[in-house]
Amino acid sequence: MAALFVLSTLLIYAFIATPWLNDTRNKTLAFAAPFYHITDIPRKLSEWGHARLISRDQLIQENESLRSDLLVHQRKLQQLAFLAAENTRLRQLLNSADTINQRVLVADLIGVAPDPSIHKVFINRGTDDGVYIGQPVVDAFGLIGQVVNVSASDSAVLLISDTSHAIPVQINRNGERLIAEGRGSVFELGLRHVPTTLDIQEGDLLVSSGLDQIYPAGYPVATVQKITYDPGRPFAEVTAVPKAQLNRNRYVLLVFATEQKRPNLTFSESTIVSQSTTVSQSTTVSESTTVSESTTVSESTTVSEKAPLPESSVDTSLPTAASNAPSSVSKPSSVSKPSSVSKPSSVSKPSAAPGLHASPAAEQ
Amino acid sequence: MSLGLLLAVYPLPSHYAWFRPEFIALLSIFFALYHPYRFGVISAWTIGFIQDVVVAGVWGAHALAQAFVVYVCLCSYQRLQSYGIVQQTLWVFVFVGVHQMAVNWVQGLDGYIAPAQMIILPSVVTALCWPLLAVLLKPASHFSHH
Repeated sequence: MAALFVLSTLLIYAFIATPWLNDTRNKTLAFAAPFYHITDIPRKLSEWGHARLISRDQLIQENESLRSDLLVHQRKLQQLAFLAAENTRLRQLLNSADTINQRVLVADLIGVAPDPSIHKVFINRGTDDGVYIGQPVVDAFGLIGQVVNVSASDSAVLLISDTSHAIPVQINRNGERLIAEGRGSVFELGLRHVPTTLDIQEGDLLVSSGLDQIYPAGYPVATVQKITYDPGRPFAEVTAVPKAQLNRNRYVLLVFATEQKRPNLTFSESTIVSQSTTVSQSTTVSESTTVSESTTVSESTTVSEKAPLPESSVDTSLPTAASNAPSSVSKPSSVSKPSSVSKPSSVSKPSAAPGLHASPAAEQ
Repeated sequence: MSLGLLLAVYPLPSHYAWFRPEFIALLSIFFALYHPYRFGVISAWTIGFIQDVVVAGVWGAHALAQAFVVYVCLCSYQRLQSYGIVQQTLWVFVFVGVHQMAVNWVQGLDGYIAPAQMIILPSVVTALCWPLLAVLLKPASHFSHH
């Protein structure tokens, strides 16, 4: 018993305080995944049944509504193509060239960590599909989290609402930078160190700022829900509601960064932003990331910048807040390069991804 | 035990996740009481470790809790065997409570803190499952004894 106690203590210490077990954790995910696959079978069966036993009228109705949805989205994409082209032109004027090129991969959720205080989900994509540790995961409404463990065919995703998770965000309205941390509830994020004089309002959209080198900039993260000013405290108490449906997803999207940094400007709108008004603002924040996908540990070079927002000067000295940050090299780009001749003009379609992506392409 | 593990990860709606009984701990207590010569602390620790791996928690949390609870059970299995079902249920509540405390203490070291009432809740639910388990598994274990 004493020996087991010592063994447990050592194991717990190694798990919490050291990175020694990281490789083993990735390997044991392959052992744990079958349990989630098996418990997922009833859900799959019922889904299969629903899909097969649906009436013809319902299918026709669904088809019609999907068609009209598609029409609406296509109209938005037309506008986005124009905005992308305009963005390219403005960016040229500012001598800064890098922008988004992200392909995405659809993953199926196979399980949720059973402990309610641990906010982790398991998805059915692994290193075989190019998934890497630190890869951002989004749904149709916003950021969900990042990959923390990956095996050959499955991976574990830490949600943004987990208590060990924090993400640098900025207010979409004015570009103020903040850090949103998980509070152990899927309906609430907390904002850290918000000065009482900060211009923040209830209902403000918080988008990822990209300063963590993990999450691409411009994805919706949360909406500010409640601001409490306490004169006795140095900071305001601010809570926000995550945009993503953290506990209601069946399918999630894995976002891949570009395979190489390209000098020409490429635009791909993989963010499905619900309000069209936010699109023009969030696409002004851009980045391009280079990631080697062959290894499980990603090394990424991210150049993030924000041009048209006057308040947000580039500041990569902000500490990396999100946990499990991959080793990354960063350099602010809009600070240097005053004389670089920018030649990017062709807006090309991104390479075909295995998953779905919506990509407006516009020639200049 | 594999079935116990499956039940331990079976998806529940988030509102009911706190009501999930600790099936593994329950089965371990049962085996420690009725098969004390076949089920020891090392098996309990190993199963707890497997549970840690499967539920993606802190490694060592369930292992430590399992080993401790089974150790106490093994020290007192003769007395506990002779108790009635209600008394046994009360003791299972205490054991699972200790188990939950240990698990949450270890996970608290990693930043996951569960509120106190949420530690008691699974213990109550697990203890209520005890009579069912005893009725289902005791005849089978009697059979294997003889």
